[in-house]
Amino acid sequence: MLQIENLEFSYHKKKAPIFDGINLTIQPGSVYGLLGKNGIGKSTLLYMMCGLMFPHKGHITLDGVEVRHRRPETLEKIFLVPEEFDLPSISVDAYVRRNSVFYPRFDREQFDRYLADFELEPVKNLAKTSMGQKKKYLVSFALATNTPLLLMDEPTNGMDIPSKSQFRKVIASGMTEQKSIVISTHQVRDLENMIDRIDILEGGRLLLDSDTATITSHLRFVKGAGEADIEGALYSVSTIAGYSAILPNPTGEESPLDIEMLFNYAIEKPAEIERIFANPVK
Amino acid sequence: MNEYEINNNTQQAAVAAVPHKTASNLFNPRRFGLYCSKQIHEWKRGLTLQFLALAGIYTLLMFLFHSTDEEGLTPSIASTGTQIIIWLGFFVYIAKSASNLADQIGVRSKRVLYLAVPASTAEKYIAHLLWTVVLYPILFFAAILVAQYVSEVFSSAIRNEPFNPGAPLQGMLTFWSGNLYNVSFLVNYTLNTIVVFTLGATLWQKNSFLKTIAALFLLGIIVIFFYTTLLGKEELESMFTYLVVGNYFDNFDETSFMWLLNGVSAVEYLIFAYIGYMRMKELEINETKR
Repeated sequence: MLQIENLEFSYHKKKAPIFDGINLTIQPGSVYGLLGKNGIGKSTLLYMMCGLMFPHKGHITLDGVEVRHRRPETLEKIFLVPEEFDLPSISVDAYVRRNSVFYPRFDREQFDRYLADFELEPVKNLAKTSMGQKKKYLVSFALATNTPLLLMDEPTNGMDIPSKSQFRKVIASGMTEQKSIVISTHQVRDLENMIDRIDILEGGRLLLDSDTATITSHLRFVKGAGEADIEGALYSVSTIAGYSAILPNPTGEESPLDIEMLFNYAIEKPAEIERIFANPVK
Repeated sequence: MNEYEINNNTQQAAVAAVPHKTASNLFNPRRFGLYCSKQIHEWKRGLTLQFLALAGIYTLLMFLFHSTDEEGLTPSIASTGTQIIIWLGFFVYIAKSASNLADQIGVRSKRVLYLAVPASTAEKYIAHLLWTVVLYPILFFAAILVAQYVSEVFSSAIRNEPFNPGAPLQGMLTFWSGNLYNVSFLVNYTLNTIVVFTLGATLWQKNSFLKTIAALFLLGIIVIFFYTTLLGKEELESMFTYLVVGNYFDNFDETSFMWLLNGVSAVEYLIFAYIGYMRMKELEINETKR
């Protein structure tokens, strides 16, 4: 279990802090969607979660051990898929043989299955593949390591449309009760039907940290509605097919979560989101 | 089964599911071995290219500056000119190799994966020092060996000179042997070069090699400035008199003096190596610089 306590961090002393007292617990068995605008600190938070950056104040611990010490026993429990990375000039098989030994729970059969899901061939030189392909190889490897914590920074960047749906399939098949996956992205549509917790970063704090079931029990999402149907809406946008809106959900009626609309609502009306999820409208 | 042992039952690189919790977080020999093996495999192509480039350059140089004595018995490698070219090249190559740490940690896309590998900072740092102390010198001298033979073959074929590969490396060894000062200078200078340029790589990740050279020049200028300006002529003279002409070194024979210099040098590179290690330990991803 990863615990973030009173995290504070700033790039420049004179500027507003990137993180101003963030608290978060990453529990096993969930896929977390870490959302936020560009430059808000999503990647920074991921790097801090795996000890590649150090907080100015506060603590980040994995199973009680400070991740900033980068102990091998901690690092073998975390795998980070960065937004940009280089892979060595070796074959897929050599890469797996040389890197899997550092991850005690690595499963080669799983890896091969993920490659098949992504329709990837075991190439001779990983360095010569496109960024989208590199991402798919690394995501396959990352899932096969079976680390308790898997962090992904903008994993769908560089992937084409079929690859994005393959990615969703692979994540779903690779998820277990022992794992927690944190996916940071600003392309919120890529996460639909995949995540079960949403964390929205805004203004140096976590504006929202909630599971999708709680969100949909407090808010009702409608699409293609008429003007009369969205009366009392908390947030609405006009589309060609009618109105899309977020409404209070006093009856607890189930509706499909629209992450993009929720995100826009949270960014536009942060105080309302905080009020709703601190004192849910029921 | 060991924590890092490959499970052969799967015929691939699957690893036993339950690790022992006793493996040291500072240094584990098996994990260190696996880390070294991983690096060698990932650098295989680059190292091969380096070897070919070195062998090619030195073959050309040895062919161009080929010289034998009248009897044609002295191998070209033993000539002073070739020796200077070889050893100058050696120190530049070693310094550049030590600076190459910056290539792994300088670019963010590489640094992330470098730092995230589940090996300790000590293992990663020692692996780097090991390559520069052992691997790169072996690569260098192997390239010289090949260059020596190839240049001899070309010289005998094109210039009709007698084929005389001589005793490769013998010339290089005689260049340093017979004089304990020279040998200790070679060892100390090599180790100092490695730790200084490694430290430089942790301080400056862009153009690390050139910046370290510039810093060394600057340091030299400061030292000269200190001795020539801040210390008066009389003080310099008295210091020189005290240390060299006076009684201070009278108690030292040649061997003792050499060991004193070796000791001072060893302390110096241990300090530099430790600072480099601490810099690596505190290395972070800089999100503001991409």
